[in-house]
Amino acid sequence: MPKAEDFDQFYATTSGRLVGQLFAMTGDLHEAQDAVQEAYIRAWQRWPRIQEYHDREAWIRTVAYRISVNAWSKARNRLTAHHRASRQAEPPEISPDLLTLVSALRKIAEPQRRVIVLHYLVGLSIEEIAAETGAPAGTVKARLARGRKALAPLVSDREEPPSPSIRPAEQSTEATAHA
Amino acid sequence: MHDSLRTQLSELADYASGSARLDTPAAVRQHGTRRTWRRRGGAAALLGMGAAAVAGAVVGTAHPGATGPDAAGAPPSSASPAQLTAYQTTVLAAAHVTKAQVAALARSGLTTAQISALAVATAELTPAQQKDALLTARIAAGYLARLTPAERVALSATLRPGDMAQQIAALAKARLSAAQLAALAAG
Repeated sequence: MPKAEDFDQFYATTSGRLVGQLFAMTGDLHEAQDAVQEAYIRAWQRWPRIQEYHDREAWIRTVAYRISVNAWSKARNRLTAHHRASRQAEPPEISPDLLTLVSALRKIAEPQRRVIVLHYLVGLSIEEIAAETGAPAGTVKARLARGRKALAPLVSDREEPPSPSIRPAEQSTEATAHA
Repeated sequence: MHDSLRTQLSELADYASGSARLDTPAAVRQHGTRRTWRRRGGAAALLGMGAAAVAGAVVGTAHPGATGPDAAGAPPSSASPAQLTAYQTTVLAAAHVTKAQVAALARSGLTTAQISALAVATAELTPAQQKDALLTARIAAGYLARLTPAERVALSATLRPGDMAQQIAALAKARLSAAQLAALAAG
C-alpha cells in the first residue's frame, strides 16, 4: 500500500479515538486536539519507520501525551488552542456527569490520570502500561491504586437518570456566581 | 466503581472524538512535509548554500518550474531519478560543494564508482599533495579509478588546488547516479 494512503487510513481510523484518550488525560479538548494533530505531523515526518511499528497508535498516544505535558509546548498549545477556539464553533454540550468526571480527573496527579486512562479507557494491562509509560510495573500499580482512591469520592456510581445537559461555560459561570 | 469509571471514561472519550475538529489527513501530511523541507532547507542554509543551489538546479531540471516543498515532498515513485535526495543534499551541503564544482566533475564523465575511488585516493594524499591536482588525477587513474587518458585530463582540469578533497569525499558519499550527474552537467 502506498505510504500516503496507509497514513490516511491510519489517521482516519485512530485520530478521533486518540483525541478522546488525550482529552481524558489532559481535561482540555482543544489541547488534546492540538497535541494529537502535532503527533500525527511528527509521525508523517518519520512514516517509513513508524509504519513498521507493531503498535503505531501507542506511539502517537505517547508523543501526544508528551507534547501536552511539556511545559513550553503547553504554553504554546494553549495559545494555539485559544486562537483556534476563537475561530471554531462552540463544542457540543457536555453532560454534568461528564463535566464532573473531567473536573475530578483534573484534581488527581498527571501520572495517576494517565495510568487510569490507559487502564480503564484504553484497556491496557499493568505490563502494557509499564511498557508505554516507561515506569516499573510496581509504580504503575501504585499510581492506579492512588488514582482510583483519589477519584472515588469525586466520581459517583451513577444510579440516577441523567439530568439535562448544560454547556461548560454555563457551568463555570454558575460556579463563579455561587462563589 | 471500576465499571462505572470505565463507562464514564468511555462516554467522555466518545464526546471528545465526536467534538474534535481535526484537519484532513492530506493537510496533516502537507504540514509535516513542509516542516521537514523547512528544516532541511534551514540546515542547508547554515552549512552553505552551494548544495541547495545544486539541489535547486537538479529539481529545476527534472521538473521545470517546480521548486520548493511540494516538488521535494512528492512521493518517491513520482520523483525524477535526477532529483537529489535529502541525504545527498545534506552531505553536499556539509562539504560546501558548489554547483560549479559538481558540474565540472560531472562533465569529466566519471562514474559513481570512479568518484568513490577518487575520494579514497585523494584521502590518502597529504594536504601538500592534494594541492597537486594532476597528481591526484594520476593516482586515481593508475590505482583506483581506472581513468582513461581523456578522463584524466578532464579530471585534472576540474580539480582546483586544495579545495576538492573534502568535496570529492562528499560527492563519493552522496553516490550521485549517472542521471543526477548528467542533469548537473546539462545544468
